[in-house]
Amino acid sequence: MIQSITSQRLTAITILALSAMAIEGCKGKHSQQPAVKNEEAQPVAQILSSFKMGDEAAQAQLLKGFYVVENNSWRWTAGSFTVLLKPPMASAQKGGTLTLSFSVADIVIKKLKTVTLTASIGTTKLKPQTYSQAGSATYTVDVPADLLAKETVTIDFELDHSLPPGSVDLRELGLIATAVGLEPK
Amino acid sequence: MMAGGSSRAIRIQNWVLWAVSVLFMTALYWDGLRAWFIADDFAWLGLLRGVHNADDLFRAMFEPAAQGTIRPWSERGFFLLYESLFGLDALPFRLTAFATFALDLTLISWIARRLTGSRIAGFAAALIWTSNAALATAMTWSSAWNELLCPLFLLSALAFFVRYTETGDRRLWWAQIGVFILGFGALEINVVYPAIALAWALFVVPAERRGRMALRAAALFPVSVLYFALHTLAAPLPKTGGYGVHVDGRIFHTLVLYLKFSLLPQDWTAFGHQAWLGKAILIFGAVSLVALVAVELRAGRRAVLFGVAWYLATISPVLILPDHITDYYLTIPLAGLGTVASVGFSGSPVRRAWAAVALALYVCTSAPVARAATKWHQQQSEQVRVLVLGVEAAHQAHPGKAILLEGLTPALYVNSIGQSALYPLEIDEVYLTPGSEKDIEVTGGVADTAKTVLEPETAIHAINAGQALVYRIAGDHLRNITAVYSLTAPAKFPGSETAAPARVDPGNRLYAWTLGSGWAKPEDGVVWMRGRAWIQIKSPSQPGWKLSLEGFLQGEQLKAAPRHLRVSAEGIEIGTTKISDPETTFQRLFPLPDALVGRKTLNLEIQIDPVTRKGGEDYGALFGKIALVR
Repeated sequence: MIQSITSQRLTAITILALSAMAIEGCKGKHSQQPAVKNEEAQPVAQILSSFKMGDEAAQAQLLKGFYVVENNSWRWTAGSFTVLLKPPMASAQKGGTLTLSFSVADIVIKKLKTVTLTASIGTTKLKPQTYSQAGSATYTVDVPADLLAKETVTIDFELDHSLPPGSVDLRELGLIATAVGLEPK
Repeated sequence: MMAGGSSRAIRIQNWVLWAVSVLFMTALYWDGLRAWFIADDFAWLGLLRGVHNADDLFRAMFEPAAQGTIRPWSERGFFLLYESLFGLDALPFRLTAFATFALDLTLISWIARRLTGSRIAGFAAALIWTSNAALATAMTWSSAWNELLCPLFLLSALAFFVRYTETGDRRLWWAQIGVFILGFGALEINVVYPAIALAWALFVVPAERRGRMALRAAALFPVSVLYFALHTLAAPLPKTGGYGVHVDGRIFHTLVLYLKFSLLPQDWTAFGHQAWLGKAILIFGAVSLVALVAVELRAGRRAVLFGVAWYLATISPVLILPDHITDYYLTIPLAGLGTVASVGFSGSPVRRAWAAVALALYVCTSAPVARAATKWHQQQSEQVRVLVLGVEAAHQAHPGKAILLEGLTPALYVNSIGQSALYPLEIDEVYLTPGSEKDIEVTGGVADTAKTVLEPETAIHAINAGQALVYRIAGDHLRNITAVYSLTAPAKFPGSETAAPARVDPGNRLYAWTLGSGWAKPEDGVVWMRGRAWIQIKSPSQPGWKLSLEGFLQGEQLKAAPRHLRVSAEGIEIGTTKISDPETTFQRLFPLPDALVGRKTLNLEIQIDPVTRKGGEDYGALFGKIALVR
């Protein structure tokens, strides 16, 4: 008998709680479901001459071979990767310097011993550089002026070796890129 | 007076224990209240768009789903009703799920109290059920509400049966049958209810009424058999795929896995815990439960077997799905685990102390994982919310423009665009930017990226023509990146600015520029060709490619006469074919001659004969997709 009364009481309370929840649920707009306000204003679209890998505004300049940004500062690359850069002022007359800042991962050196990086613009290959130690490194190379006499320049980077998919990661891995840029001489 | 005071105190104690269990549930799964829609939810949310009359409603409610399920209350009815009332506001859905589980907890406590005579045991049963990390899915995902609603039907029917066995009141018997039958609309697992009622009769009902009540419970089995037969007739059991039914030795392996996940969270090590500690907890839990059951049986108390029977009965329907093992299938069986363990809270103080230690260990092990898993689910759904409502906002800001999305992660694709997440909002022109398909692995039930990712030629043309805008997810909103995308896309996809795409959908306005003469005005996403029509398509870069044509002819056209289709490219005939009744939907593949390789664009000429003449206009055929394929 006591349990029956208790059960009825519990049922009544539950129904009340349910009703209260239902009423709350019916109120339409809720603070927990705010509308999404998009960022519509587009700054003057421009191609940058140099940028860091975490730079949101430059993401579209990573044309291929770059993986998702990590810690908002670096990206793994594949064995070949491509960026789009704007030649800096006067570089079409005096030439420029291409710089890629990156790290060579321990696992890359352990598995591959050395890696050689070559940049090319169109069909012109720039001077390759070889890296045999893990850690931070910079690829710096002169770019002839005639290759920079355009609005934008597409630069292809290629490694002689990379870690194939499945050996360390499901992705093909090359370098850990942090920044890239063209500077006038 | 004393009795009145005592009964009031008992009521207060019961109420407090109930309130604590519900508050604990609410606190543990709080993030589940904030969860949005995700994945399968959009299939159910999309139903409302197709409901215009009573026939549509009936079909939407009862037509079997792809997995062969018919769940009118817990899926179709739930989503149809709530979406019509609240739109895409997820909170009412979530509140309903929480309220349902609160009712479940009320009933399982009541059942456990009936079994043991202990209020603490009832509370413990609710606590054990609530704490298990396997509930995180059901507590965050509206499509899994069926896992919370089904036990409500099972436990309600059982409560009526229990009271019937105690009072003999036949109204309770018939109320039980009514609830039992309604429960089939929640989840197929309801079919095991007669076994649960029989277990109660055999293991709990006193000996003098046991035989009669067991016979009564057995009389429910024909209802389940009839349901199973009708259901199988309407939706045959799948034999292949993730939901393929396999009755073989794998059942035991699957059972062992589910037993393991019942005592230790499936993602134990993924949350950074030590594997050895997991094994120790698993062994401790298993030994404790086995010992409890053994002690009870040795003492001649069989009630503990009811919980075992509940667990085995409710897990059994999913044991035949060895290719679809997921911990959220444990949601209902875990009520049985709670019931078994609750027996430990009755008896000697030493046993109760032992049970309390085991409960503390179980809660400490499982609850943090449940909380973390709930948070993870909520975060996944939040990304979907930002995407879907962000696209809606973009659509409202730029009506008539197609939306291209850049930078979706594979998981976000699978949970949103791959599930037609914009369909319920009637926003159909949403695509992914070219190249997005590289990282996305399409599995069963997810939209093929061939349909959702635009080719570079189509995307660049649409952006340059002002037909499309490009957005990227930027945290809690979308960012319009059209300007910078249009600057960089030509470099990313060299040559695409001036070439035609390899896939053309003539009825889609984004491809209108590839159509030459001989096409009618597009209507509702389709376009009729006249007797002879021209269209541009990309030229293959290597030999070995074929031209695929997918089209549609009306039944009356084919009944009047077969149609002859002739296709040529750059003046070279590449194929002819005949389409006869009843092939209203047709597909043809024509090998492309080597002479057509390496050109910039192919001009295709399609001829159909005869045509249907209506209102002074010729109608040849409708084309869905024209594409180069390997």
